[in-house]
Amino acid sequence: MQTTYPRTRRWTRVEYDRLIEMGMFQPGERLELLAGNLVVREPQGDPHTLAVELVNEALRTGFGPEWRVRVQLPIALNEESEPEPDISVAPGRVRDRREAKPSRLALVVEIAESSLALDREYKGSLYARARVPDYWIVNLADRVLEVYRDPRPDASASYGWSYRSVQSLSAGEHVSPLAAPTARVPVADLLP
Amino acid sequence: MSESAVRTRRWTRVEYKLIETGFLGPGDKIELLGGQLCVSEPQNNPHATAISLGLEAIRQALALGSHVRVQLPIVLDPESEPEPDLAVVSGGPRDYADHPSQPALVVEAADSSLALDREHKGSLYARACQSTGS
Repeated sequence: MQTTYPRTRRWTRVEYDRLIEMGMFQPGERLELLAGNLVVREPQGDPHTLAVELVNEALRTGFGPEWRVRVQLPIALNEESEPEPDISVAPGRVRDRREAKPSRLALVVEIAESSLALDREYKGSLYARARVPDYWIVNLADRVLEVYRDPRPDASASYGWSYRSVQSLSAGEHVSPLAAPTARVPVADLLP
Repeated sequence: MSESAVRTRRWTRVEYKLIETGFLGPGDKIELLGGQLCVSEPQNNPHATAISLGLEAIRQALALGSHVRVQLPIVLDPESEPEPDLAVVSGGPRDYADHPSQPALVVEAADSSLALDREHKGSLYARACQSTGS
């Protein structure tokens, strides 16, 4: 994707926000700025939206009120990336927020139906490069939770970074967020 | 990562006009091709020379009642406004309120851009020709 063909104009976050303010986009458009590319999000099926609700519920309980658990809202990843992950968790209460779009994330979760390759390689590398410490993919096709941790430089990855640790957890297992180690979330609770 | 995994936002000519006004400077070499804002590669000397040679040759061969445009926008479809190296359009330069839309001939000088010019632009030019029935 870094060598797109033909090479297209890349956007910064500042420009992207200006495009939004100008009213350039239709109300129903689901877009994300990923490494300068304005990427169209795939439509969400019912299993996807159910998984979003399940993960949201489980993580709100697991993290408690000192954390912002956000659903499909923009995060400020870097100068050229403003994705809207299915779930993102940032420190601090909602009312005390200092950044409208958090840039320091404790956990990012994507629900993958048809977007598995994109979420693994492309977004995984972007999140790793932004040093998101804990990245989960709810893999609906295989009914597993993929847990990515320990970002490190990796020349073979889309954006030069990848996660060293990759775990695949099935419905019978539990997961504890790195930032909320005492929470034990049953993987079954996250799967539709 | 293959490009097919990522679908990027496409732009219309109307939106392109707003983007030109609000975001692009004179130094930005951008063409709207099939809804994508494509960045043109810098021109080397053989490329520039080819344009000058082509311009002279076409001018000599050209019938009265048309003229040659050099790296200026033409309208192909609502999502495409390329700036071909040379384009022959009917009438004189003052005959157009908007960019001309039905060129009789388009010439691209290609060295590094050969694949783009053949496949991507070639298909766009062919489609535009068919849709205008010319």
